Amino acid sequence: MPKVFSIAVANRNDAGRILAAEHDLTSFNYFQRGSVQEFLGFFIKTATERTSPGMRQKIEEQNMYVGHVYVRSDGLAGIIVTDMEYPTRTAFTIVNKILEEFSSKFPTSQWAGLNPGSTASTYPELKAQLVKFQDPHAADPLLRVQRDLDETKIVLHKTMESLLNRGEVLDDLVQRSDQLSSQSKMFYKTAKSTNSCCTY
Amino acid sequence: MTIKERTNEFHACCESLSQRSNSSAKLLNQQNHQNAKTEFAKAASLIAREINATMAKLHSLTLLAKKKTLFDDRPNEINELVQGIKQDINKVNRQISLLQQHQRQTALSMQLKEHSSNVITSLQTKLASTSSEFKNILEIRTQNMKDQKNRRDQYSFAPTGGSSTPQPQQPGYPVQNVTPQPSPFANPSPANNNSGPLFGAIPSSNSASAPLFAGDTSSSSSLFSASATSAANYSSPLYNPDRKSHLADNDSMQPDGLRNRGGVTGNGSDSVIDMGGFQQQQLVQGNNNAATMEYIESRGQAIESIESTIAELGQIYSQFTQILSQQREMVQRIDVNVMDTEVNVSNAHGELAKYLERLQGNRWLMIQVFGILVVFFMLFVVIS
Repeated sequence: MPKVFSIAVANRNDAGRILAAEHDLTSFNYFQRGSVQEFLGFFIKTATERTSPGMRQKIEEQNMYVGHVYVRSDGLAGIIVTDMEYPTRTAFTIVNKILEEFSSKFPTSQWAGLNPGSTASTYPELKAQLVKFQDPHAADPLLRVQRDLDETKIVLHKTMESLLNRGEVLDDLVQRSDQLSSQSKMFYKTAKSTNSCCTY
Repeated sequence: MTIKERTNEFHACCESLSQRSNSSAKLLNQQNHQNAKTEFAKAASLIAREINATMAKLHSLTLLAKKKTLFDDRPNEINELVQGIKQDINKVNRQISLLQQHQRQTALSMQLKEHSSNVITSLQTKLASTSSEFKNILEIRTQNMKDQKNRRDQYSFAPTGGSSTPQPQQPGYPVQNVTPQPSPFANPSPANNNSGPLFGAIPSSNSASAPLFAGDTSSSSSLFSASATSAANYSSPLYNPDRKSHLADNDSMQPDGLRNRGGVTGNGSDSVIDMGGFQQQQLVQGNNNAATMEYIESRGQAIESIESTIAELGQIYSQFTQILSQQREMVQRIDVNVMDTEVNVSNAHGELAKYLERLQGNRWLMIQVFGILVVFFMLFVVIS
């Protein structure tokens, strides 16, 4: 079951300062959460700094986490930390989407004054989207379309099967109706002949 | 349709009217309405002014984007303009919706309501036309960049002799960093005149992508990738004006590497490094990153698979119709047979009914014949 651990937006021009971040740490022990959150923050900062603008990067860590980083040309960076199963393409699509939303909501002038605490209140959609994107199908339209098409294909296969069954049934019916009509003809002929020899 | 403020005229009219009618209550009423209307008109005129400013920006962006020269490209300015225009459009959109809400809440007379809704509609249409023009400009821009890339390829692929291997580039890297780059958009107008410096400018700009391979940041690489991702970002602005029509916010399919080539400018550096072969390699390797290529390839694969699935579905449907038409024949045959049976059975029934009648009729004759026989029998017995 693919999982998203956190989504974050950082400013690469400002030494990787995190502008907004949302985490979903429910899968960890209650006592581990604090350290995991710190680790995620550090990871986000370092990944942002190490990636040059215009680059996408995928960083695997200890076979448990994968961080997908995408730094835009104007220095805004989007990071999403997931587990190993989450499809890469979907992760980058999400990052693009989040960056678009963020830059439309907060113009460049505001970036210097943001930090995760303040943006948590003004940008609650990030949390909602983190929850929504736990399911990669919800995030990526391509995946959704592919899944719908596959389901449609299955339905069509079943329909084809029932159609072939119908063909067999119809075949059977044709034969029986053939027999019926010939028997009724015999019946008619017999009745006619019985009627013909009337004079005792 | 421009939004003009004609409050003063209205005031003058009212005063002249009130002098005639002398009803102060009516004047007060009108003034109240005036105030509400004035607020609305002020907001509307503000919005219209912003729309005009956005259109002016769009106009300058048009001029920049329509330039056809190979090196006079100003990707950074264009990017800033694009971002600015996008933000402006969003802001104006929000203001218009706010105004609409405000207008709906305030209780105005029918005419004022109609007028305000007309004003809002006109603002919205203006904004829509602005955003559609924006989208056109972005498309033109991407087309131009593609053309530029093609032309650059023509020039750069010609001299393949004397091309050095990538290895010498690595020592060239510190050289590249030292090269002064006063402004990324220094116009190499002498470069446009002859192909010698032209070629020199191209490899130097492309050797700027070498540091990107190392993954480090440097001014040249930031410039290069700035133009690259500006190109990559055009994919999303391309879809943003369509956000009103609820399109999915997808990136375009073109690999970043191709876009790079289009967006690269002449760095204005003086180093002429003969790098034809290396350039070709870079073209193939794209925007420096395995992750990006993987992302792009996976998107390509996903779309291909979707396409093949849809084709399969189409095939299944056509088979469906074929089988169905065959079965239609069978159904018709069944129908004919059953009708025949019905006709036969009804005829036979008729025959049998006739027979029954005859039988019943014949019985009476039989009785009569037998009665005569009995009489004859009796006669024979009596006589003998």
